Amino acid sequence: MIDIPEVLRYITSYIDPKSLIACTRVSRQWNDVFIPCLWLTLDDYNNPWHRLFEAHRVSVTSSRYNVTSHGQHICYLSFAKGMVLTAALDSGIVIRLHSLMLRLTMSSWNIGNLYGDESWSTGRISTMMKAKSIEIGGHQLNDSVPVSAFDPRQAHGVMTRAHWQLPNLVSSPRITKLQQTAFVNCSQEVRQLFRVFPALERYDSGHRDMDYRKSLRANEVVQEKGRVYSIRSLILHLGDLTDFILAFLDFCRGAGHVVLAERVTESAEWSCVGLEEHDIEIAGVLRLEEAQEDLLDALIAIDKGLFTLTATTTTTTTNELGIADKENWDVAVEQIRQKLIEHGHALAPDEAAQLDFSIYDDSGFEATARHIETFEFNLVSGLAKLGSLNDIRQICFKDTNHQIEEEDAQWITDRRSIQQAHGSMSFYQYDKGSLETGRKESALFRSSNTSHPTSTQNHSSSALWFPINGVLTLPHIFGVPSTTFKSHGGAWSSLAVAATVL
Amino acid sequence: MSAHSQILLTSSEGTEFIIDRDIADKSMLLKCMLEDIGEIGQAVPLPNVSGPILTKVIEYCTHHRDDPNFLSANDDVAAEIDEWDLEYCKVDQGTLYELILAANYLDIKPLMDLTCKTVANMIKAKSPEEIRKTFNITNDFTPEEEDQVRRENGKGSRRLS
Repeated sequence: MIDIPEVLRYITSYIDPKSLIACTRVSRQWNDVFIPCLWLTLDDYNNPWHRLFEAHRVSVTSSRYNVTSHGQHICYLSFAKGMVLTAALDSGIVIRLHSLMLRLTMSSWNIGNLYGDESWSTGRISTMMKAKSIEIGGHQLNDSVPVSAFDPRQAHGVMTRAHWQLPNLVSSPRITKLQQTAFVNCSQEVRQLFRVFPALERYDSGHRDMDYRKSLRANEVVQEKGRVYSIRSLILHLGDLTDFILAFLDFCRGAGHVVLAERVTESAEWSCVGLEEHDIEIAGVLRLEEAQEDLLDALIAIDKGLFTLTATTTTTTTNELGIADKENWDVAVEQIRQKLIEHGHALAPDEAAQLDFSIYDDSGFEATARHIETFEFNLVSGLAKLGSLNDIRQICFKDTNHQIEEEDAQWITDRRSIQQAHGSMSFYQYDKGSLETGRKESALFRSSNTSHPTSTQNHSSSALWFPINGVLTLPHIFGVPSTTFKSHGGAWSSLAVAATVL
Repeated sequence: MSAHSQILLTSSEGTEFIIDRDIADKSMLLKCMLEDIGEIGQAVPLPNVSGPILTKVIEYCTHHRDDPNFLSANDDVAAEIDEWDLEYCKVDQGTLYELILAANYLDIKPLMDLTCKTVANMIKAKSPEEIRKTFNITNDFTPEEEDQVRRENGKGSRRLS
């Protein structure tokens, strides 16, 4: 019965790559069904492909052999070894490529260096990409292309024409997802990048290898939902504000984008960006695990305009639930859902199933400052920001082993009056062991005080929270021990402004 | 339209099944159909599904009737199959394949996931020979072909572990 090819085809996506190999060797029919599936993704990094190459004592010849045999099946090509590309280029039959992932920096993948002959390889890439465009036409080209090849530093500061060959050749108007690894301090190149990739929706400056299965799903979404010719999601893993990032932010101006930026909270420079003016929401994802990021995406996706869940709300919620590891994640997700339901944002089952698919749906995707309930910023930028955050109910100050400057103290004093005017309660987090509680408080809130209450030694790692006005403590608010709020090693530049409501 | 209204289905051999609307809605095919044309009071013919298989499908949908995570239940490929589902899949291979086809036809993703995963688990970590034995498949490769397949796709799953 299992010789029904239809049944076999259905189960291919449920079979792990290792077992796929065994399946190709079962019978002719199984071979026919499973070979395309096995070669759909060619990744010389993950099992079993890299083992395949090793088993063959990888050489240009052997890998070329493999790609030549099955190149027509390859849709996702991910590689670090130049010879894989060589093989793909040589074969001339890698014509269905959706996604090309180069896990190389420019230094190792200098188009010319690989072969010692630049014209040769650029010409070859041209051939491959051209063939692919012809083959597929329309809508499904290259949704994911890392552009590590663009790093001008890797090219010894010289931007040669060849470096731009690749994106120009891969039908760049259709590329919606871009992840790259080494692209710093180069605003000019960013502008160039957007010219090259006008359809870019999601840009990730990260260092992590993209999960190809994930990107595949996203690709489908993008194709399904149609084009949105602008960046919707910008993921920055860089702490400092470089010209590069500024150029990005400038580009994103006015479209209500969400920027997920790691370590942003530690950077004082961010204060001057004027994100509000750009209509850009920024969300620190410093403490989010990968699974949490997924949920974050999901939460953003379910926003239909009634209630905007921001990335930082998620952060707070996860903290609130005391989630320290992935094992508890399912529980957390459920709890978050419950919480949403409590607040009248029930998630219908079919909606839940669609979560991944709606992130690129721009209908109702509205993220503006007025929705922000939780915010984490450095002190100075927080100062600039708070005035517009009408819904803010609480301010959480997070402190580690750093001095509080006069300006900071003044800021806090100012904010305190705002808080009192709102009739809300504020609290701050403070490290144990710095000063005795009473003195600490008075020192902090003495206007323009020159003393630095945190300048003493022996900071404990566990944070102690206590209310500014002595009314409210963290456990009262969130019902969890305060130790679940771990400080993350930032400086006193890290400030959290949080709302009670979720 | 009441959630408790009933739907009449006809299997391939003409057997009629009356099921509650919310059970029928587990099938995207039926759900869309009923939403599009409304409940016309006539039987919905399912020429691709036999009576015994339809019974089995209805059993599944009925069991998961109130499952709030129904659509996402089996999304995680690595996730364990729950006990009831495991027991549900303890059927002969022929039935299992027909269930896959029916789940695909009726567009019941969780059932599709479950049954495909069950078959995948029968394949997992097996050598080609063990797979042939499990599914009673004849090796129709010539020795030359077998050698070529081995060369092209690695020397065997064991070595690739």
